[in-house]
Amino acid sequence: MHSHELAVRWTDLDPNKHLNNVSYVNYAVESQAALVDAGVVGPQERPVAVTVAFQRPLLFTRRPALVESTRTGDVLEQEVCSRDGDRRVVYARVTTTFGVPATLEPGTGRGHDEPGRLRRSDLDAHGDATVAGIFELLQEGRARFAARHRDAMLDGALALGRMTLEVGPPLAWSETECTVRSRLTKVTGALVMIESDILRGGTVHARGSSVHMPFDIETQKPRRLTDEERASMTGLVETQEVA
Amino acid sequence: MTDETLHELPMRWADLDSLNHVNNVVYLDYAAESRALLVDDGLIGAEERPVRIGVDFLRPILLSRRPVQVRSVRSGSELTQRIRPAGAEQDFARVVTELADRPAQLPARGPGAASPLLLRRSDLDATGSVRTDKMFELFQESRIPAIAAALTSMSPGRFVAAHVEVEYGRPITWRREPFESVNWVTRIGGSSVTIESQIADGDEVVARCRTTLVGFDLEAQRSRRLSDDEKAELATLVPQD
Repeated sequence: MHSHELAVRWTDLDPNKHLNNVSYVNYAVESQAALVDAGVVGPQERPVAVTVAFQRPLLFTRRPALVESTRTGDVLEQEVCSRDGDRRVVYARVTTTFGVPATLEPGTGRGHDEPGRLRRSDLDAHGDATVAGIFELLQEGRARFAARHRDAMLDGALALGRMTLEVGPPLAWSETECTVRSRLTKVTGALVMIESDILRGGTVHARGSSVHMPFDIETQKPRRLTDEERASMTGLVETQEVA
Repeated sequence: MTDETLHELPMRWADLDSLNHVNNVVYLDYAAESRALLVDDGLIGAEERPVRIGVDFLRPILLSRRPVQVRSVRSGSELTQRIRPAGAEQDFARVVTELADRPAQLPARGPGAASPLLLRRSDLDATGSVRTDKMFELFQESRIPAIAAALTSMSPGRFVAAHVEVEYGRPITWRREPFESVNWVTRIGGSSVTIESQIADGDEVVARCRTTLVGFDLEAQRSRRLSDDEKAELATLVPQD
């Protein structure tokens, strides 16, 4: 097991004063760079899939966050955590699979399209979007989709529980916008699943599958969707526009 | 002077800080993004580097579906960029960048107490050096604990940055070992305080920053005067001769 300490920065926080979801990915990627130096990850190895399971929010602290990593075959398991004596608290679990990126099929072509645009700050040394940059682009597309349908989508009262990213061909910087196409794939009383693709010129560069849990804004606790809310959201599934 | 160039950039939810405003350092990302487009357009030479960037924060930007507009005008070595949400009639930030083909000459290391400063790989650009906009983030991260340590009560939004100016020495390249950050107070006014900061590698200063913070009333959303207690506490960060 390899352990790295990372100082938590103010800029890692979101408006809820929690670590931004993408920051956990950043911490994992930062630690992976150190694992390259340590020879645990090869310099040419590329992630083909990344799953982040969010356990509990990390609030701002002057104590560094820990990233503890274990590699088995092509799979790297990382936990963003803290230790206080014998007490260990895990905030997020990041699983990265290395390999050769697959071609991602465009799917049914159905979904809600939102424009997405890379920034130079999203790029790696090769000029391609980093994993964290792709996560952020998917998050922004999903947030815009949810905001556009804010009534059906509970006005943001959906907490991200898990996110899986499949990585396709590299997404290079371009002034041209790409499209983030999101579709609801499952709505139950306890969870909502959204699948989002990053598309440019007919190529799917990444696919994100996210699991969201409804929560009560006042108590900040998970809750079940009412039948009316489910019907409203399911209506959104059935009215997904054909691109 | 060049004609004004307008770039529109989508705002992101991730641009927001814990006060629900666009984070101060993100304005520098907007400006850097627009500068990169100006390089593509030949308005800035590929060999030209910022040696000084100053930003005036005029009013906070809230999240919006409207894009952010960056209007750039170059006059000699100076590039002025005005930032506002599309449709707004006033500027929300003004960024002035001095461009040159050699780094700034920086002063000797200052008198403040030093703290370790760790880089992240995500701070780096394609050349492996810390990005100019990330330097603002590094200074912000080093400044906040220095100020917080002097004050008996510190909460987000109690001070806001009105002006930040960074001068760049030699490029800072990646290393695992920390650099050092140094912060001290140079002026305490009725409602504002000026902080001088440096990032140092041993005796060598590789970047410096001057920040004017203004006392802020988060509830009333307006500036406030510094209390006598705050002034006395901030005075402990003024170097003694």
